[in-house]
Amino acid sequence: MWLLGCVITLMMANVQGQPSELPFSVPREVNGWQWHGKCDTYDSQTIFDYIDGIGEIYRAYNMRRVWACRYEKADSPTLTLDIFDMGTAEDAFGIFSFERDGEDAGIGQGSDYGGGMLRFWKDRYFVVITAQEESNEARNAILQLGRQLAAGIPRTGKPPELLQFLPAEGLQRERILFFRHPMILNRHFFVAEKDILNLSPKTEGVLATYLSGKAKVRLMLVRYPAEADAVRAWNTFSQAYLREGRQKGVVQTENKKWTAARRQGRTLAIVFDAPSQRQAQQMLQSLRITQQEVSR
Amino acid sequence: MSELVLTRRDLLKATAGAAVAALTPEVLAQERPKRAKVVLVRHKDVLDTQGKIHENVLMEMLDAAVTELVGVKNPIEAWKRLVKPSDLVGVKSNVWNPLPTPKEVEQAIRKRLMDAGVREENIRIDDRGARSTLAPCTALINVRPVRTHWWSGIGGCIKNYIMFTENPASYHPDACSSLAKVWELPAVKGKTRLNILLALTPLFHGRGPHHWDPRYVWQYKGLFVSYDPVAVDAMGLRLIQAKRRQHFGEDVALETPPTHIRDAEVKYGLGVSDPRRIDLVKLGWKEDILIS
Repeated sequence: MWLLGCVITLMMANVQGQPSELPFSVPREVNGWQWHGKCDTYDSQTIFDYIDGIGEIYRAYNMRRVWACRYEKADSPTLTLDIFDMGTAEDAFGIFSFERDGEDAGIGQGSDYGGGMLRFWKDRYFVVITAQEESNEARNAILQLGRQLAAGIPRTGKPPELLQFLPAEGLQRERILFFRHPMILNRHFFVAEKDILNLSPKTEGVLATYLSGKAKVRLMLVRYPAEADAVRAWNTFSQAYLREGRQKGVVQTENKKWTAARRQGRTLAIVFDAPSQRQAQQMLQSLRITQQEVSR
Repeated sequence: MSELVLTRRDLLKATAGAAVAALTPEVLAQERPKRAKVVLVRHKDVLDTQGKIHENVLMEMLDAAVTELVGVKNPIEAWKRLVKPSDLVGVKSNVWNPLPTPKEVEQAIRKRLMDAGVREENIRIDDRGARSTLAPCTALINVRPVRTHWWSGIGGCIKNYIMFTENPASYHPDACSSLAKVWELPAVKGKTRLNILLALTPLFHGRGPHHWDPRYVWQYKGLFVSYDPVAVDAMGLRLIQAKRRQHFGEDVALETPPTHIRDAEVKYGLGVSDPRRIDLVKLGWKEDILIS
């Protein structure tokens, strides 16, 4: 019993010496860069102590916690590893979708690399590795570290279900935005100064871009916790935005393009900037929303 | 929900230029004819190829800028006009890890303060602890690098005082539009003797959680000084916008419109935001100066 107690104590000591708070295994060394075994950690309240105002973006995706770790190597730029626990795979995908820039690095469930920064998501985690200065050596280390970290996350997560509803033709897949908060939506596509879509941390929204010839058409889907929430959103959106087209659910806007909207069950679909009324309405018809989803 | 909500349709109706014009210059020019002076000094040798600061050159630049601003020839005399030997002077620095206020700059300021008669023990340099360490100061020197900022458009001298507040996040709504309100806090109000906006290596575009990307940093090798924190930020903004135009080949809007600069004048009367009412004096190296 005593021996068992010692073994347990030793195991605990080992765990504490390792990244005990970290959600998954983090390598001690990569290509000569050393991690000294400690990470700072912040939650959604203390995030501003770490990343200033940008913390608001992470909070808008329901961030739970971030671990900030540093890898150092003599005469080389420090690598900063940030592991964000976003709570759900949807939000991990969401924060990844917020700012895409760079080349696909083939890491995790989605990634990009550029300018000494690797971003990827897997399961409920969003991971960013940044070099203070870019070099070939740092780039190789970052990608190597990213691959090891992704391998250490045991599960994959389910991307937002709304993605399945998007029609495939003309879809710019690398430009899909997942959002829950009007601030996030407005950063990518300004809709209104106030929240006329009745968004909340429990709503799921997708903004997709389609190319139709030279025209750039936006398709937005928002799924609400309950049908009553979707009805409220329809009412506020149609009143503030569709205005004279409220009854028909379609209107020609001031840029001579067309906006059309439709509610199905707890999902609201809106097409912005279609070249014609027909195209706007066709796009709504082409949504792959199942009857089961509508009646859910 | 009121029908008066401003939507994308309303913006499509009125061009952005018209909307902005409606909000600023002529109206302001009539209501607030105040002008401001900003001095920009640049030196091609202030940084070496590795980005290390040449301290002597930096001191030359600081002296040139401050004497021009104050209007005297001797730099020590100029600093004596800014602070009294009896002052407890706080230097509000900035420790943002990727682009902090360089130690060399802090030391140059410390030296000139001491030359002006301030005792070393009466000089405090701080950023994150400003709310406690700098609050008792009788004079403040505000110094930080200019850069894009995800939440406020740019980070400049107005924003640098946010660490005097109990809850910085409470200033985040509406693109930090109320930042100038910080300058009304008792710890700050009326104490600032000089604003120094560093443009040695500005960041003109940021990415990721740290809003940092070394590809978007360049060696401009300059610094702006002014009594007016709004005017100095307005010039910093012009520089950042000019660099973005040069780099991206077109006007690429900042991630957040830096409305806090305009609001600092319109709502809080802190200084001058309209470039047409700012007298920019340019000293030193002129190559790739970007702003006129």
